[in-house]
Amino acid sequence: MLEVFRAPTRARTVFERAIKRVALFGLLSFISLAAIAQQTLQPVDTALVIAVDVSNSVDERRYRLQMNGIAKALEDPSVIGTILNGAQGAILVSIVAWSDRPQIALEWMRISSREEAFAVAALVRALPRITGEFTCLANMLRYLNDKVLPTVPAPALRKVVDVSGDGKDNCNSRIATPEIRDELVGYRTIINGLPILEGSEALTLENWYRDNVQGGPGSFILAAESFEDFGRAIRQKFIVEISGIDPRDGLRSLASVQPTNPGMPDRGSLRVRN
Amino acid sequence: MKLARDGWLRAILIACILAVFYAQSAAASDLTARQVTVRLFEAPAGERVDFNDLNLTLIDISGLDFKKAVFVGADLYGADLSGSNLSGTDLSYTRLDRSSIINTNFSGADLTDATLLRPTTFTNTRFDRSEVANFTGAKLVRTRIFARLDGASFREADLTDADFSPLESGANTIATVPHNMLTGADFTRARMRGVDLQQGHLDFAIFRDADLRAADLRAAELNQADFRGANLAGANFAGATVAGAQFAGAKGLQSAKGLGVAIRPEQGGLKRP
Repeated sequence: MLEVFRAPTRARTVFERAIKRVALFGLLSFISLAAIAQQTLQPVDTALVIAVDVSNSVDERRYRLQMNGIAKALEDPSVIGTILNGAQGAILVSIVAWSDRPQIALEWMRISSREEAFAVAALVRALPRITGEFTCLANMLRYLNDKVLPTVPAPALRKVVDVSGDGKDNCNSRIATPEIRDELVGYRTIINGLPILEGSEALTLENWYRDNVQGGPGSFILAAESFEDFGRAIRQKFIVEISGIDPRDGLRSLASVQPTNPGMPDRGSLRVRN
Repeated sequence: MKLARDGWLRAILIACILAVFYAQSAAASDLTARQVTVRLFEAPAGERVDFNDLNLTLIDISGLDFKKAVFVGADLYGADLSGSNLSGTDLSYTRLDRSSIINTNFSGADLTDATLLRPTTFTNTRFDRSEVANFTGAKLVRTRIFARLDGASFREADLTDADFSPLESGANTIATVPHNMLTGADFTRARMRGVDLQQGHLDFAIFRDADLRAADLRAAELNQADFRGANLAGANFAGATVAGAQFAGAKGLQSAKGLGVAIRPEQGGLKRP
């Protein structure tokens, strides 16, 4: 089963890898769902939705950079420590891939131990690629509001949505992005943004996220300079989001923590909404 | 004089505002999509959630598992039901017109006396089998359907007196095309007594062992259709095209109307006149 994680060799075909990935995903899903079924009603500190942009600009490499960044962050000792040190010592995580239509890539998973964190990380790495064309951010927020957040399987002290993407909404949806953002905030949801400043909208995207996506008390924007920088940014975001501390304090203290990717300096701006 | 005129203008303005407000409130659905999700999520296991007689028009309730919910008399006009699991639900007497039913599962659902006029059934104009709605084992008694449902499964469904006829022209119609599109649809072992499929496009449709007694198939396109083992007693094929259709083992052919052509048993098909 662990062979899936070996470095690819010439002998292994793409087909073989795909089959193994699907098989592993199915097995891990079954195990995790069985685990979650036993613990669904135990409260958690944070119910975290990671909303990942899979629009046309996100090719296979960029998709894997995002998923590997999320997986690596879940395995990070600082992140695991933050989870276990919470009042409940547990979180729920779900991943929604969004483009033309949002869809759940990873059902709600409970993490209350290092082993569970690594198991969920393995699931994330094995997720089959989901593709799309447009950047329908408002539709995604509507989906979270209507379908995902009402179905959190355990009481959560905080409900946090982590939106990442490399572009502004270009869907001309029936509802404007800030309108549905405000509706979510009305249900006591915190929406943080991780704009990826790569591509034609790099110069204006961060401000657009701040004006249209960020919402809720203590919410913040933490930009990634590029898709390669995504892993660093998501790790920092996780720690602040899961701990529930003031993002300004949280990210200041992170400066003293060894970054996951030592070659990548801690960058990205931070704006906190009170 | 000017004051009186201003008063009238103000009254007209207020009346307009009230009319718009009333129109909006009248059109609004009784529940939001979030409320629908919450009802389903919070329902005890095995309990059928009650949506009877509700106005659920124009809401996006796609991708939800309705757990055999009850919708009797509900108005689902324009609702997005794409990818939803409506298996085993009671949708009798509902209005499903202009709803979106891409990859919707209606298997075993009760759609008695429901209407399904011009739903959105595919993402675009291209046929995609993965997007076809599923009516396997559904109850569609007297259901009024006008739709493009190419490739849909109606296997073992009850379509007694179901009405697939072309829409009436004139006022209050939402018809823009003249035919139901059911190419390649599968009606295997379906109960279709008295069904009205006149003028339907049913090439390659499968009616194996179906009960088509007294069915109205006038002017339908049934080329390459498969009627093997079907009961066709009293069915009306007047004006239908049946090139290459298979009739081996079909029952009641003698009393079927409009089949004024020779059957070639060796091929199990009909010879064109």
